[in-house]
Amino acid sequence: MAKVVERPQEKTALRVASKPVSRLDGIENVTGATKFGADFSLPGMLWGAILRSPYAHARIRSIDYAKALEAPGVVTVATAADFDDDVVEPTSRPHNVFAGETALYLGEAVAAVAAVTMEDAEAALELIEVDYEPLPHVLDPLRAMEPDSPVIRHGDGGEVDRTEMSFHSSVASSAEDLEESGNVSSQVQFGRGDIEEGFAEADVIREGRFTAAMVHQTYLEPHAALADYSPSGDLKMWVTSQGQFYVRDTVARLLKLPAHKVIVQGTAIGGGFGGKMTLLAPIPAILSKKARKPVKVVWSRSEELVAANPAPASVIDVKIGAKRDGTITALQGRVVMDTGAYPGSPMSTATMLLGSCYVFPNMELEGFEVLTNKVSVGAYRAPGAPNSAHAVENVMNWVAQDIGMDPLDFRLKNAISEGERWPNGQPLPDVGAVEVLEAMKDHPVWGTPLVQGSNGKPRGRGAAIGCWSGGAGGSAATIKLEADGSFSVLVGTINLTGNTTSIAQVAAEELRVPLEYVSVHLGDTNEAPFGPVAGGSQVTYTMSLSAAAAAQDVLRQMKSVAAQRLGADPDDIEFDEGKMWAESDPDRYVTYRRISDEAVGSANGPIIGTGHGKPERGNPGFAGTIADVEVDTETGLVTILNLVGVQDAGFAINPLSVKGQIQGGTIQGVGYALLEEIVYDEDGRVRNPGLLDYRLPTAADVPDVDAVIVEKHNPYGWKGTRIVGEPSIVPPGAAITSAISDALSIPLHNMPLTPERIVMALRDAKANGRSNGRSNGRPS
Amino acid sequence: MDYPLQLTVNGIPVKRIVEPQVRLLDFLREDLGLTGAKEGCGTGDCGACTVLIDGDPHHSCLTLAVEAEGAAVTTVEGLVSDDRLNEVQSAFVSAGATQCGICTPGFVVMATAYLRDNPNPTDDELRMGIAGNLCRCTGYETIVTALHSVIDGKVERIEVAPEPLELVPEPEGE
Amino acid sequence: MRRFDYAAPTQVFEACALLADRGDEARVLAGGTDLIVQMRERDRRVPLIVSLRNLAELKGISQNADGSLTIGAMATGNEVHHSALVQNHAFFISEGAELLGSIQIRNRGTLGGNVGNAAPSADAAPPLVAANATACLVGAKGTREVPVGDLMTGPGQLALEPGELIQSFNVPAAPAHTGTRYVRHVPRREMDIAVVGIAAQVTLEDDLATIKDASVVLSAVAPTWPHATTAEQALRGQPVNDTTLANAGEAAAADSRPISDVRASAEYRRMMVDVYTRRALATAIERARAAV
Repeated sequence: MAKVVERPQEKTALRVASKPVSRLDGIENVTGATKFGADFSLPGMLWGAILRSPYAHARIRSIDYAKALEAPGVVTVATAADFDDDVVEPTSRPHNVFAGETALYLGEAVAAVAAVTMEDAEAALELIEVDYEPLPHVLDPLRAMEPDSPVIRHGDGGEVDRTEMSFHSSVASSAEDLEESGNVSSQVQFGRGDIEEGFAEADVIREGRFTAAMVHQTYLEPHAALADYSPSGDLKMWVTSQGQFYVRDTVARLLKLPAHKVIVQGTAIGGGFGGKMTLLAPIPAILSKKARKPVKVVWSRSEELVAANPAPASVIDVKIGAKRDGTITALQGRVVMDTGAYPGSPMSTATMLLGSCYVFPNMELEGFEVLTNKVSVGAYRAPGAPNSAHAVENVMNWVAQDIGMDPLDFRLKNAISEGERWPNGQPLPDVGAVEVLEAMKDHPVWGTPLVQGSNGKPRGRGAAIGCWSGGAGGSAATIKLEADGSFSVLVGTINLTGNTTSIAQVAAEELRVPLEYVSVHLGDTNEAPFGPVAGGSQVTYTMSLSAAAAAQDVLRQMKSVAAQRLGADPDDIEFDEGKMWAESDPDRYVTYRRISDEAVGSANGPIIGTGHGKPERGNPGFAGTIADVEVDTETGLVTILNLVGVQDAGFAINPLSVKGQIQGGTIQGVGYALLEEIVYDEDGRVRNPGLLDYRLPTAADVPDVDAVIVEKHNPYGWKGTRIVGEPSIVPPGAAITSAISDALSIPLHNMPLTPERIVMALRDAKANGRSNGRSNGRPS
Repeated sequence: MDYPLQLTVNGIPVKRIVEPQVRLLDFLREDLGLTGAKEGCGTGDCGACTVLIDGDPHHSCLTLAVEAEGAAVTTVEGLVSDDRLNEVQSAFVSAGATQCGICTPGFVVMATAYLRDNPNPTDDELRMGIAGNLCRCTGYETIVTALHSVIDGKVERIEVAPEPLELVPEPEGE
Repeated sequence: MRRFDYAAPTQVFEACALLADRGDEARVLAGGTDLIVQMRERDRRVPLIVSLRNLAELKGISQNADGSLTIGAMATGNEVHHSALVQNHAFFISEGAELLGSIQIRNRGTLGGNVGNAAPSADAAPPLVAANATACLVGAKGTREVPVGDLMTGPGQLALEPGELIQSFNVPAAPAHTGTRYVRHVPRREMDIAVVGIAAQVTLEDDLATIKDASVVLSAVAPTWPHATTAEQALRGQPVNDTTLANAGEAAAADSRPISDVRASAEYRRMMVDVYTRRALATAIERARAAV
């Protein structure tokens, strides 16, 4: 059962905001009426298919597609030659639609065919003759850092494109982009105090090297896009993407079209989690421009797993020192992040987040982003943060155990709070780290000692916290008063997480009407005011401000019309439940419907309000997880007995939706902890390119998540709103692996902890004479 | 090779000529425009393409259209009756069991058939029963909660069409 | 998917003639849950698909006068799983069928397809081998019976003559005091492929404390579905106790010939053969004791 920490005195005045509301698009979703990316088609449409490199690293000497063009049904073929050099940043993955001189990973797009049927397009791929010269490749980031490693090169260098990562985090972290020497594409360092002195002061020091696997966002809807280039030069597109304006800008640049001639309609999106930006859209765009016909391209699941932009694997060293009284004295950390074939990983964020939850008087952090011949990585819900939390939080639990302190008390003693600084020097606003930790302590699961079962399977408990900075982009919204007194809101940000429902709640609250009086519409890039990429948990954070501002603009205009009709001063107009009246004469009123009529016929004209919003600053969101597990030591299978997810939402506009985000993020964390991993063979080929062997948790594999919403007011958000989407995925991996470690009384260092890894770790520990009698991580 | 195909889809007889390699999923989506069934994996591992064939849930991505000759196919579009959602659909809406919505049609079709055949499952049986349908957004909890509300007979079927709005009457004399 | 021709004959002899005529160009379509996936990979060219959906002789489950059970090759996973006849006759055949993917997969996938696909990791085939079932093969020359254990010659390879089809499986009646169990190791509880699978059939002496006969068949740890013969020998005539089971587990691990792949290492697989052999036997023995 979810518990919402209510603040009743502040909420009683609210009618819609803070109330649990089921999604406004619910009926469309359950009837199949919602149109996702692949659901759009046009008459005369062609199908596109993509030819991919069979080598992890190869020079492309030539591409000859003459035979393919003669094949049945084929209309056109596109390659890198169709994009002008001056629009392509060599190190930018979104700009490198097709491999140019060199294919940098197995599965990189080399050419695309548009044909009358999908069968024709796929058959034609085999007729494209590509002359490859295989080059030595490197897959392991640590190996790639060695001086004699094969080196990955991107044309003539150029600016590193970090646009996509910037959507997710509003925090500056000054990674230094290196001239490409070796495979380290960027490097970052953070320091504070004296690290040697810090460890000298410590009574207890624990350290470890932690690995996290490459995982896939695994939105259930594969990438899909439809492009229709008209004779007049308009390019209309229907794209499933987290950011329709970002797609528009990228396509316009690559095709050298004016922005207003590229009209992108974001479709309903079947999950994105950071991974669905602009990867596919340029391909149907160039094919349609060449064919002068509509072209649709839909990725297969194996293309997703081989050639999208998964979350990075990392190797993280963490060392923490503390005094017996629980005061942390020092943190040392080193992040090596495998960025794949292009830079743009969340390496610097991951490095900084090592030192972001606690006060570390002495600190030395460094991070390296390393190129390898694998698909390049992208964002996945709090990019890089689960990797960091996995390392730091496991070590925190070991230190707590060594000094004999409750792991939550140990964290509370050192928790970061307002005015403290993150490793990048940025002072923090009032974050909810302490409140989240207190809610975890208060939770009945934490308050109940873990009882060992009678089946011989050891049980363990783990706790962890984590945070995410989040985005704070600018946005706009318009609201129209309609003829019957209802309102329509027009936005340019796609409905990723149910944010449309939250925006409707904000508008209804401000306009003082029931929710049924408000609808929210996503316009295309020419119709709608700009809305930011739905990433970095920022949509509701910023759009609630612009929707509220638009509502105020509408109300101002309505009051002016009402005042004229009532013969009153606009400043004296009161309003509620669809009517306005003068404060001095509450019995005479004018309905919103009548105001609409009057406005249309008056000099004022129809009422349209515009609002702009941008949170003054980002304000990180904290989350915590408590996990109880039971381990079958013979097989390594783990059963999660309890899973508690606590998150500070600032002010939950829609607690049902916030709960849903906490539950979903926590279960994605279960995937990180136990199941998910993209595995490569030595040739650089993905060995598990399907959902049979890339394992998402099923309903039978996971427990319910007890989602607890904490509300620590955020002065920069609408009514205290804070970012919500991302923080919940940060701590579960750490908490679950820590619980397994607790159950087995051995330190464990890998995510995911597959059954095989657990069995082998136990065997190794036995061989080394460690681990036997179990000791709970918590003092009893 | 073209192949004549006759079947009923959502109660309506359909006669078409298809090529044998066309999957039932493609036939429903591209030939009939019923895009409710989704392709999440194309390999029978996610359940998003689930439809009922003669009442039983099948992967339409693993079924050739020609193999549905003579069958009665029901898609998510065919579950609404008398302008009301069925109980599973209604429960999904009320419990907040849809987030992005891409897995929802497959889940709704699967759960409708499962609960018809197993009206009183335990929580574990229920979870195993729907384990062939993947959801990445919800963590399954709201889906399971929705289905328990159906099992408990607590669901009122939701009407599809919204009512006209009338919040405040016009003042008298207007 | 590539284009192909399709035939759905209504007579078995027609199907056999088509297969004999087209040889390697033709593939049999039973449920399609493996074949369609394979065909969507672009390198798989199949000029002709011969669908078995209209062949009545391949359907149904029935008990014979001699007590044996006949299961049609086109019986689906769900039919086999839910069949009371199968459950009473050899419970582990029902258990194996239950593990064929999800409910949706089990509505399409067939017992004949699971055997015919000849994957070392098949879940429904090993119980048939352990129960000493035979396959009834039909071809131009008529029908013949082959032990299911002799049918698979390697991954994807069956000992079928050109133009031959699996029509049905015949499962002999087990002696008194027999219990069975199929259990597999997978990281998830559903929707997975066996990392290790163990089919065990145990017959106890009348004292219910001594093992009279035992059959242990392995899945996913060898090129075929072999008997763990050393383990079987280690069980016959032995008292039911932990030592016996431990010896059998170790012997089965030694009998296995696993490979390393994306699902597990050979070393881990061998360890799991030990664990799951013990567990499968323990349940089979429990069921043998409970059996009438």
